[in-house]
Amino acid sequence: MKAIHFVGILTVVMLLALFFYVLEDVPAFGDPHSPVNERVLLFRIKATDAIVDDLNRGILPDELRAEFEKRGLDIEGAVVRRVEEGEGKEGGYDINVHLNESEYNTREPEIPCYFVNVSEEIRIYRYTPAIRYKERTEEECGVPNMVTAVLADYRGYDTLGETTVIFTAGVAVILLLRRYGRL
Amino acid sequence: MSKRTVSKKSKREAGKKEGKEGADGEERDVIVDTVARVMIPLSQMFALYVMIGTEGAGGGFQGGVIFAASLILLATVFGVKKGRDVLPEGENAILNSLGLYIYAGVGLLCMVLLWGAAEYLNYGAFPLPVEYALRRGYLVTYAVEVGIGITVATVFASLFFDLAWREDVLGRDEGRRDL
Repeated sequence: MKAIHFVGILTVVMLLALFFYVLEDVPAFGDPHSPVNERVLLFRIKATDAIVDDLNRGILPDELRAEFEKRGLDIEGAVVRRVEEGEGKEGGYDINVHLNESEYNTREPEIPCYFVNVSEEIRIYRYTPAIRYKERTEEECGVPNMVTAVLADYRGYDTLGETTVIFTAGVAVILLLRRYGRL
Repeated sequence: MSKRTVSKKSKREAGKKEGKEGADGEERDVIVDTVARVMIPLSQMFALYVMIGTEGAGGGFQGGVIFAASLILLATVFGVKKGRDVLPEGENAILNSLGLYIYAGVGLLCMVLLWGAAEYLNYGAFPLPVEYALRRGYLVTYAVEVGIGITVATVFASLFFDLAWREDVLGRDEGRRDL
């Protein structure tokens, strides 16, 4: 057996072992409350009374604003809203941001972008796009089917490319199999 | 086919009396014939529902494939020649690209009709006399999905017909229609 085969097999076995080792820590597949489907941790800072006071009054604290700006995140027109603790839902604060993405929408949508959780320390999360799609597609796109809206509207360019791929495959088969005559 | 027709001799004769012969000159089974007659329109309607209906799961790709399946059923039951009569080669090739043109054209129209003020594929900017969200919804449902559906359905039908087309000994195509 060549040495390279041995190295290859060893790599595969090690990756497999690593996979099984990690498997326990992977969040349940398809769990709606798994981090991928809900939010990801951006950063954490120390909790002080001044920050919590500001959050309770619905003002974005200067410390948080500085952190956001340090990371180059858009925090234009931020509004802080309290989120009550509910079923399977942590209590905390939503930071709603004006996303100036649709020029022709006169309503200027205010979208929850960040989530603040206060315990011993303050954790700032970012909502993942899944949340946005779940909550706002019907209002934004007028289509009750979320998948259709994501596929053809938010990710319209992608779907255009996919359709082109299918069309190209069809044309290739026509060119290969039709013997003579016009297309 | 031949086995089935032998085992159902009486039915074959009944079919013969009514003059039921396939496009290829083969005798056809009454049961397959009748079921296909019912199933083809049903599956085509279901394809349209999947394509345009926004309440359930589905979309242009799925609806298009179901529509192509109905055409394939038609071709397998009534013969490839008959299937090609329903969807001739020329029309098929035109429809192949028409769906893509609809999709890309809607995107381009958004840009052109606003003199370049809106982006490509920005459906909300399309000047329709309804409100913003509904404009997006209507264009996605009735233009984009239908365009995808047309392309997918005709491409898959075209794949099937091109693979199933028979040639005679001299290499001439059978039953080719002049365009």
